[in-house]
Amino acid sequence: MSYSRLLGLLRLLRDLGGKADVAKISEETDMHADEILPILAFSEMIGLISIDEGDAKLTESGINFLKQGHTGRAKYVRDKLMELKVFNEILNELKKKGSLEKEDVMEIIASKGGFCYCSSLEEAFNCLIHWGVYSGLIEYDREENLIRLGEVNSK
Amino acid sequence: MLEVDRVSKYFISDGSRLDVIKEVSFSLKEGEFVSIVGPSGCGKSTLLRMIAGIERPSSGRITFYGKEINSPDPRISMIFQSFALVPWLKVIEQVELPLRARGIENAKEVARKWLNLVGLSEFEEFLPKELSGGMRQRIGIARALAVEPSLLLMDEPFSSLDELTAETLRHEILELWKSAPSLKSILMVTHNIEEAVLMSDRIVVLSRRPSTVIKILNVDIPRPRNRKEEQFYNKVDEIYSLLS
Repeated sequence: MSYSRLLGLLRLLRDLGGKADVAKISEETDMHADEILPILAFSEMIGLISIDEGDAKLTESGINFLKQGHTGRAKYVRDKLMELKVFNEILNELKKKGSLEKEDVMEIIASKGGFCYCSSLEEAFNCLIHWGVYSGLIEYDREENLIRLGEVNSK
Repeated sequence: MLEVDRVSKYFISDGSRLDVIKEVSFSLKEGEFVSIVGPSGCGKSTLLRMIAGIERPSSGRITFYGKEINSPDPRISMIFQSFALVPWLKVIEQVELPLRARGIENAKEVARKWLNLVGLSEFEEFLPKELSGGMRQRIGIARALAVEPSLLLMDEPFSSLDELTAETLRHEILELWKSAPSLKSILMVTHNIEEAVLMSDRIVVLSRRPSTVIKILNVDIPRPRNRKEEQFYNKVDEIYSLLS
């Protein structure tokens, strides 16, 4: 579930008059519901859409998100992620220890009941890393398998 | 800017001649976005490769600012359907590569600027396999635009992406066009007629192989275009009827 998909979903909702149900989104995009649901869940979690009686509705924040550039959008996502308990704990641990191993982060995700309705812990980890890196909150060193604070936090 | 003048292309296969393109002519002016549409196998990509200077026409001429294209021109760059990334190079290195090949000294700085413009600044140390299809194509876009081309060629650039990702990148290409001062025009090959109508000023409609130009249509719909508007789907219908 990527940044481009998220933007595509918001733009589609806007073009459809601000709201649509999963069946309509699926029809418009030729994508299966199981591909669409995680994007809806993440969008709702960070306040870009609301789910009401089966319809996904673009919120005021969602409309503004579309109007912003990449930097403004990354800041919005960063602010929202920092409100989540799972990110809070990861950031606190990183501030204490300097770095965390992948397994440490997965344990934190598991202790919070997962992330963004992902079906496996591995998928949840990848999703969290993607959005954490995108927003500048964390950095991920693939070679050493270590998660560190992003530039935004280390200043 | 670009003139394609009675260009034909044939290949020899098992001793027999296969005519792919037959006397195709069209032009591209500065400031234009032109798409080429046509049935599968009609030679759209071959035509683009000839414009890129990777292949030569069997007959006819292709000129760019009055000069015949015989080899790749540094003022023309290309975005590929398959992204064409080097698997072992990090994101930043992918964008630096063509810059270094051209001897640009501040290649890293320029690459960073373009990664920032395509929203990948935080991912510069990642490898392509660690990124989604949309992010990989963002690298392809950054790499193509970092060399400051005058003409951008796009060969089915969104066809291997899901529709939500593709739609985002279609809009972003149009936005980036405004922020790339050297980029004058874009020429895209696509089999997606809605995509062509969404993005283009003009559309060159090609026939089945050996392909000829059926018609060149103007798309006079103001931007940003909405697929739900009557004007939009009337234009789509017009192209479908030309091809059927």
